[in-house]
Amino acid sequence: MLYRSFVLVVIPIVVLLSSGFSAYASHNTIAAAEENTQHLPAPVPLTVGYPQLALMSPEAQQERIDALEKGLAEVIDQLNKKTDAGIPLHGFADVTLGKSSRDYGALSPKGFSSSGVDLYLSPQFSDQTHALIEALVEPDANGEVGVDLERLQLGYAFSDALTLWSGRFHTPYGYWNTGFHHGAQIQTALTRPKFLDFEDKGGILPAHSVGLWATGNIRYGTDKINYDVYVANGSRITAGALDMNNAKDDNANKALGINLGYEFRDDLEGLRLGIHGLREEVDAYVSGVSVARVMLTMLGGYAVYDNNDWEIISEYYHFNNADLLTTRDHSSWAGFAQLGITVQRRWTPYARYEKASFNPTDPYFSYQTYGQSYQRSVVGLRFDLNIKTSLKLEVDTTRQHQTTAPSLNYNEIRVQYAVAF
Amino acid sequence: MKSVCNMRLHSKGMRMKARQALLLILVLAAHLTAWAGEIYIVSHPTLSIRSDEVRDIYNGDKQLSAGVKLVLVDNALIQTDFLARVVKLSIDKYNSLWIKKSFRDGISIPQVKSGDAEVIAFIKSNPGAIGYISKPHPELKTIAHY
Repeated sequence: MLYRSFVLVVIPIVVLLSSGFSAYASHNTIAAAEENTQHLPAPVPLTVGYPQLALMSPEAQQERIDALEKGLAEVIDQLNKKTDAGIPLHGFADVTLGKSSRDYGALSPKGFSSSGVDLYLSPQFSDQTHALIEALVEPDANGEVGVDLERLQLGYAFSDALTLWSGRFHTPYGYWNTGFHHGAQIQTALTRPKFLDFEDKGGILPAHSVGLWATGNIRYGTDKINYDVYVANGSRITAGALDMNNAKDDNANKALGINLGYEFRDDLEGLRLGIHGLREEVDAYVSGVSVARVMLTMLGGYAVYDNNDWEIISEYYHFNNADLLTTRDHSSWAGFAQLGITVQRRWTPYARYEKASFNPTDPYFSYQTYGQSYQRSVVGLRFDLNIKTSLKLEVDTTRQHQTTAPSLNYNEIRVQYAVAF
Repeated sequence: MKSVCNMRLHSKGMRMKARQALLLILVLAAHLTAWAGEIYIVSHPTLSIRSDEVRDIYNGDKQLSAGVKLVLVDNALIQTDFLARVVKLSIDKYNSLWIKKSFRDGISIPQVKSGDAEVIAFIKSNPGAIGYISKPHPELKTIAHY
């Protein structure tokens, strides 16, 4: 009874008081501001210092006031221009501590490492012309620090429905590659899906492209349609890894790609569905000699839900590659699904499952060092210290198939401190 | 007799629960109506923006209006309320969205101004500017009112 009385009387009073206080606080701020203005010195008569004003008619005085206001506005405008801080520089950085149950080469985590500092800026030259420049300062496998030009995009925005970019950009397939890329802080998980990693980190698709890219969004009722269409230098395989032909193309064939997404609003807010495709001719080189030529044809789809503390990302890639030297076709596929939920605004447990089934006789995969089929399960926990800083703990177990040896099984653990600025 | 007593106790319990529910509703209603401030979406007078485009603009999906680059400003004093009512996002989600948008599309993160006066001054001096304030301003165009 006592408890009920407490519930019925005390809690409502506390809540009502808190409501009152919050409303009072808002009013109080305004009241304080008003009070402060009352403490300001009394207004100086307009004629003080300007005795000629006293002789003017009210209309002339008004004109004088208008002229002064206009002058003041121009001064403020000039000051605003002078205090322009230039182009904001943003970026990402992270430090990772990792260990693997098996040393499987250069990509095997061991001790402390950093993926470097990723810096980007987006100068605006006019309302419709702008650029996006991103550079990654990172150590290589030997510890030598180098600078990679990640993106250099020069763009012209015709409208929200069409922006045309030229230069080097993140290849717009799926969702992950353009959504997160080097931004470890903005992706929930610590690692990328293995097959979607960067070209020099074991990825089997060109994460970057050099060419032309048209992108935009069109409203469809309350929903939205996004699209990307691009033409770029075709990739090549050299030294066991994809090279997107940054400097110049090694053959006349270009990569052609498309990504079409549909974003729902209202009842299905946060849901995005899409399809994507990429086609390009890829030559594989060994010691500078072309040993294989493949027509890569990738088609796939993705589904993303990011709303109400839930994040679900799934992507699927189907390959139907033609070996142009033997005229044989090879079919392969890869995909992943990741699920995460944020609780109490800061904690995000997540899990991901990845699988890749690559045809070992397809030269596109067999000439890539990491082009083997695999399965990986990942679980992790992310803690957001604030909107720009996070700590992540991630554990994964991987089974990697090998054509000439038994499967390689290993477990890894990583802890990462990631920041965005 | 026992059953009558049980019924009375039962009905007494029901009344108590009904009272508790009523009080809870009243308390929630009082809490929800505690902040009834007005929000005016305003822009530079030369811009022509429809009220149904405001959400797209603050989501980063609409960046141009008749060839003019839109420049967004947030008003720190009423930002949380604006985001909840107009953009339908929490401040955490909003900040996270803009970090991602800025990285992906190379667009500028909205500047946060301390209050109405700063927002008004900024919009007046930037032809593509759009923001929100707590009172209408005669020199700015009011796009929508919440």
